[in-house]
Amino acid sequence: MRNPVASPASIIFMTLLFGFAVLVLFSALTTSKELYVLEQNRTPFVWERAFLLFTDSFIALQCAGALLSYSLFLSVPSFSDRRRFLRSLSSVIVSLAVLAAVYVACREGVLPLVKRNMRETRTLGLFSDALFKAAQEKARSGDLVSALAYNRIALLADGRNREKLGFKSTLLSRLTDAQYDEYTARVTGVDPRDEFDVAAALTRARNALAKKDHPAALAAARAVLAAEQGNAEALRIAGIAGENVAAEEKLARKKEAQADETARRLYAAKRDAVAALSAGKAGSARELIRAYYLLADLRRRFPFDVNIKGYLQEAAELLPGVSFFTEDAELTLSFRELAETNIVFWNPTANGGRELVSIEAMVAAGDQVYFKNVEVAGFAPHTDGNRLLYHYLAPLGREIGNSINFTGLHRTDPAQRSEVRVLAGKPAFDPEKGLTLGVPPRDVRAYALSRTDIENRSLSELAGSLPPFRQPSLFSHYARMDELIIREIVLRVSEPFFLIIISVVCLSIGLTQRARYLSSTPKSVYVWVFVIPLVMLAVMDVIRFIYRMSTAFIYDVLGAAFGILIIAALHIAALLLSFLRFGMRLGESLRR
Amino acid sequence: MKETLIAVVIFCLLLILVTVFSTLAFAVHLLGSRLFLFPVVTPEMLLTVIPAALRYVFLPSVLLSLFFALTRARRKPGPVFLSYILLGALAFAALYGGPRLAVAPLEAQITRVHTQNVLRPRDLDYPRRLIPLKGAFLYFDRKEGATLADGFFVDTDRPSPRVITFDRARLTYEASGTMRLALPQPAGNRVLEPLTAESALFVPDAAAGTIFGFFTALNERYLVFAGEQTAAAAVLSFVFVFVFLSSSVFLRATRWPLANVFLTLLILALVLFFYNSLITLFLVEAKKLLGESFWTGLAPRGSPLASIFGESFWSTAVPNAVLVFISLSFVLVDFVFLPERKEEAPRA
Repeated sequence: MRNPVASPASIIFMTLLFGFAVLVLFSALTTSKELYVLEQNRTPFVWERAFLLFTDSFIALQCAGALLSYSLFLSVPSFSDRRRFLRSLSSVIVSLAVLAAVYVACREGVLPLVKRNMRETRTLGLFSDALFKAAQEKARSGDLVSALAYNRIALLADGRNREKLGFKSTLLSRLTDAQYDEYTARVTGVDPRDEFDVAAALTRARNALAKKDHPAALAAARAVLAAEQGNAEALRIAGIAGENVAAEEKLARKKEAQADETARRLYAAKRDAVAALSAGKAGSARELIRAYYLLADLRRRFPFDVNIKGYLQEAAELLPGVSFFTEDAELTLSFRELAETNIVFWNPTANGGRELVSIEAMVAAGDQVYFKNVEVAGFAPHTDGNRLLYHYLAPLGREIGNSINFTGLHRTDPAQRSEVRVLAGKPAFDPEKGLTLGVPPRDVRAYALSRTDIENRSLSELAGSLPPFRQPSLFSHYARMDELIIREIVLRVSEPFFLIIISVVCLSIGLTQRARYLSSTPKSVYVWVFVIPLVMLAVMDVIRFIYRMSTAFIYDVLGAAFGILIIAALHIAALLLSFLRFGMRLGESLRR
Repeated sequence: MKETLIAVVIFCLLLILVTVFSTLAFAVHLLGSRLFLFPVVTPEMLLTVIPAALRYVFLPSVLLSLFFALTRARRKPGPVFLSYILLGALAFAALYGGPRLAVAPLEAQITRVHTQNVLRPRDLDYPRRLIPLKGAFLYFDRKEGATLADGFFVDTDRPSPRVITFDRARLTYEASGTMRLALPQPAGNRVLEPLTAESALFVPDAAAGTIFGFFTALNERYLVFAGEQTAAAAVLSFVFVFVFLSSSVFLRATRWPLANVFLTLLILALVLFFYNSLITLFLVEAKKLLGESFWTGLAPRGSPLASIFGESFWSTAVPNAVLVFISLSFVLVDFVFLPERKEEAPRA
């Protein structure tokens, strides 16, 4: 098939299109079920993965198209004059420039968004899976309410998962009434005991009578009768409970003094808790935490007291501003695949001191950011020999404002807390606030050793860490990081030129190695149209590796200024030579 | 005749160009994968690396040059058989004698460099800066010779606490390229390695690594004998050259030269893959199944034949013989069964 009208650009474009279609199919077939991708996200994930593979294969596919264009599909045009030849040559140059621009747009514009989406999709799947595993663990340990709560969150992301739905049904059937009430209150914030339900009240009356809690049975029965006067069962329970209560009242009078004392103690405890809550609202984190535990204890002992419930809710809402629960922190930090690890940076202090911060791991779950093993070492100024002034280690932390808070609490036991361990000296930090960050919190993750995969960062992210976009540079306190980032930027900027050069070389080779069929091309030959791109994928991987390695080496050895100059000169020379060679081949008819 | 001579000249030029380019690329890989903050790239350091690189790339360079020369010879044919003989002889001479001739003049220099231990730490430009390393961070206030003063080391590979402060820590640099920092006890010595981001560019990824690994396996067989000019080296050189020469029959498979080139490359890859892995695997599996008696079955213990038909015979001569057999069949196709007619020859 020879079409002297079509240009190499159209052949290259069709090769790219065909390559993308094959990669979509490949992605669909190979996206493994083991990946943390929920069913409803699988289709967009397949397309995103295909785009990722396409961007990686772009150069190889373009070169394959360039090889095939003059080699198989296009005849070499005969130019009657130089002007037509130059027009033809310039159209090829323009086409290749446009394709290079498309490559840059894909790589630096679309690909970062695609990668972010893929990361979020995997994160969602990972969270859902991890929460489900945590729910199963809680169920095994007997904490059915927490198990159900975790499973509920897992289902929010993966609502059609049969295993999770089945697990939920199983747990619900195992809950007692009280546990169900607790679960409902925990997840909806609405205490079912506040809403009067005749059937539920009757059940409570029945259960209380069975347990010989006659006052509760009488109260519940009377509540039912208040709603339904003639309710037979309520009348029966009220009668039995009433008789027992009367007998107990005699006994109770003896205990009246004690009951008065209990009431006085309750009042005193409430007053103490409310005072602590007020102090907490005024700014004392210690008092707020004390108020929370006091009120939680009162709530357990007096579940029907409306005042206690209201104060406890207030304390629970204020608590995240001054502390966090260790259980939540440990669960979030268990997602190691999402963790930024080995974060080390200098933390400027208010008094001009030098404070080194080393964080073992950091995980961000929504707007909650947790830290593991936060180690802080304060040093004297350089003039004082860089002497260690203090050194401490906090096992857990959470980002609150521009601080890392170290006050980790247990949900029910005030004695269990994550404590800061002082290793040397006397650290001067506010125990309530924790470590005050002198750098923006969003920068903290940038300092992670686990994120030194510079090759996978976007050009905008790389450039954004350097002057003039950031003064001083993000890594001004680090050795070599700025040079590595600039080196990567140089490689990214030069890569489109590499693409043009290698495409022109492939066009030249295609011209040299033209098919010479006397009549129509046999159909069997078109098998190579599929094979050549596959082979080029492997070959281009090797060529690209050698190119990037050599360019990086020139930069490393010659330094930034001279290295960039030499790299630019080499690229220009290669461009000119390749176009010259291609032009000579293309313009063969002019010389005859 | 003219075209034959041109093909020979092209082969010689290509051999020089491809060898120089490959050697430099491999040298860059060797240096770059170790090139980080501390070692200085001195001329002596280059001298130690280039001979090693040259040794490694010699076989693929010769074979690649031969392939491209054959492509040219087939495209503009002169007397084909004469082209075969001349190109084959040159390639064989290069493979058989090349490594020794190329590396020998530098042996003395290499020995001197190694004994003097010219690999020394760079004058560190990074006092008072956090130096990110693989699995660690290093900081020091100043450097006094090979000793770092008033600094700390954050070892991210150990459980917290991970900050280790020091007043003095001695830096030692070994000829192998390993750099060590002697921290105060109980921390002890730490090996300093470059950040992955720094050296990752110089290490091939999985796909490119697979292709290089394929050549590495062939190279290892070749390098065992190269430079010693033994009969085994001659046989191996002959076998490789013969395979490439004979497979050039596929360069005239169709009237589409580009497809012919790819076809020939694929067939060469298949043949060499077969040589590399399947035959060796066969011998290993045969030994497992049949036991040691497999090696001596044909040659009873104590007989003169036992010393000849041992394990090395079966693991080298048999694969070579299979390769020669395959090549001979290609030659028969080329010259006997489907000889090229003059009117079929491409006129490029």
